[in-house]
Amino acid sequence: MIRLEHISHHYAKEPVLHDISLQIEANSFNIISGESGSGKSTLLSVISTLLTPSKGKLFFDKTQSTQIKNMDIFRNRHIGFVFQFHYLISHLTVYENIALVSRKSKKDAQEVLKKLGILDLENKYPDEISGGQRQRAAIARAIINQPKYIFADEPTGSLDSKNSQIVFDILRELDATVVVATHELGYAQKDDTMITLKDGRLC
Amino acid sequence: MFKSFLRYKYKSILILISAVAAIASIFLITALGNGIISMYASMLKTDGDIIVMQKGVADTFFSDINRSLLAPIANIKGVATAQGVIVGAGAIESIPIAGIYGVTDNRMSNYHLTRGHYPKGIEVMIGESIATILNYPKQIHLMGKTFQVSGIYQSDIGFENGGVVIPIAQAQTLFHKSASFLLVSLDKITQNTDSVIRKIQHLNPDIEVKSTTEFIDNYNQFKIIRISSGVIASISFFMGFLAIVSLMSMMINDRRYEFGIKRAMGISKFKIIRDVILEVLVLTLIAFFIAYGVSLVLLNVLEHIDKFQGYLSGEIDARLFITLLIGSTFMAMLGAAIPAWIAARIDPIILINKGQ
Repeated sequence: MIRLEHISHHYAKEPVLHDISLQIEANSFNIISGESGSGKSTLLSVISTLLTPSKGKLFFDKTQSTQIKNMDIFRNRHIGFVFQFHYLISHLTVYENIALVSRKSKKDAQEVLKKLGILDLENKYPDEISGGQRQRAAIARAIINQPKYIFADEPTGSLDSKNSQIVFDILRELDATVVVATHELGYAQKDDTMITLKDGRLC
Repeated sequence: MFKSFLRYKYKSILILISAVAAIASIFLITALGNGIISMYASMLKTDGDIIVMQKGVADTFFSDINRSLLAPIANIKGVATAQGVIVGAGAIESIPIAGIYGVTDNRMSNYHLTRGHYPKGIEVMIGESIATILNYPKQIHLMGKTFQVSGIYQSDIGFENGGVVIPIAQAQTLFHKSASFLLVSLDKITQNTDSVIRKIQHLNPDIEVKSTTEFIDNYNQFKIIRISSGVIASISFFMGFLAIVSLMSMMINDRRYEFGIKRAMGISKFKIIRDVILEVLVLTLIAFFIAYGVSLVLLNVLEHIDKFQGYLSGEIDARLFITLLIGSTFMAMLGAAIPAWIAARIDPIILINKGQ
């Protein structure tokens, strides 16, 4: 479970998030939606610990984020992140990008790549594969350590509809709490928890 | 860990070349300054444990001492040889200035003859560098006087190799002095240099007697050269190190985006900084040894350019090598570690967004 208490954030003097309190249940599929500039990505960055909020508290289960002794280890073990533009490290191969963060064996990494249908690309560099394949590689990197929480920021933003559907299908199959920031509500399902933002506030 | 260098070969090679240029420039400037001092010191140290000069004259060029002192000095117990030297400079044929060394007969054998014989009467022997420039002449005009070339000698000391040696009596007619200084060498069993110095000093109150080592350490010309070369080397060190720091900072700042991704994936900031420092350390060490090699080659080329008469002779001693090795690697690591440390303290998403 993730809990946010009175989270606010501003870049320089420009406020982006206003007093947001919410709770995300374990193993739920959550979609943060809203218009462009509504604060979706900022909220996702705060929830995923990639951005320290200007105000407010963030809890993972009962532990406040500021009380976590080693945030790097926490992120590595419990959090997986999928970015809009994959953000694979360009001088590393697909496998090396995964191995860089992996706490698992090479066999496990190859198993994940196989599951995502990109095992044959393990020795390719990011600029040698398609956008959809890159995003699947990024998902492989995010899930390799079997994290409790998966965060995805516009994961289909640079993909065609076919690849977008594949990405959503993969995310839904994960045994984790998944939070996706997206403006494409066409991939949302009835059981999903919707978190809607407008001008940095919860609607 | 070093895949980023291999993946971005062009960029890595540019950074490497820049680092090599910065380090090599420090090597060259400092080595050339050291070389000038070292060459002159080597000349004095050849068969010279003790130097005798005119009292109160700090510069060998201006010192005037009577070489009739050579005989009583040679008779002092413990003295192996006593040699007289006149040091001067003047125009030789088309060469505007070159070293002219008037030496007593017993010093001639210090010069390694490659052809001909040692000079007598109005003969001179010339260094290999001068001989090459003047195309091995049979006679030369030296300060308006004509001398037959009796032989050619070779010396590892650039000032000598690019100069001429004449009998001291002939040098006296050119420079109007008996000797610039006397060089005294001790026999192998004499341990007490001070006792010999005192005995020489007793011979004449108008002379100043010092061990060659003490003289070199206190020689005003060397002090001036040391200070100027020290100032130039310091500026060169500063500029070179600044270039290294800037290069490494630029390289690390270029990779803030990568650090952001790594931190987002939970790679510890210490591991990121450690990897960066190791990468930069390896890059700097490669650059350092290439720069060292390049400097040695360039110094050798400079030494053999006819135009410079062998006077540009650089010396890279162990102290310079170690100082530069430690200095350049430290500055490079500092240049990498500071931006990496700053980056490691920034929220990952900000690093990623700003680094894109």
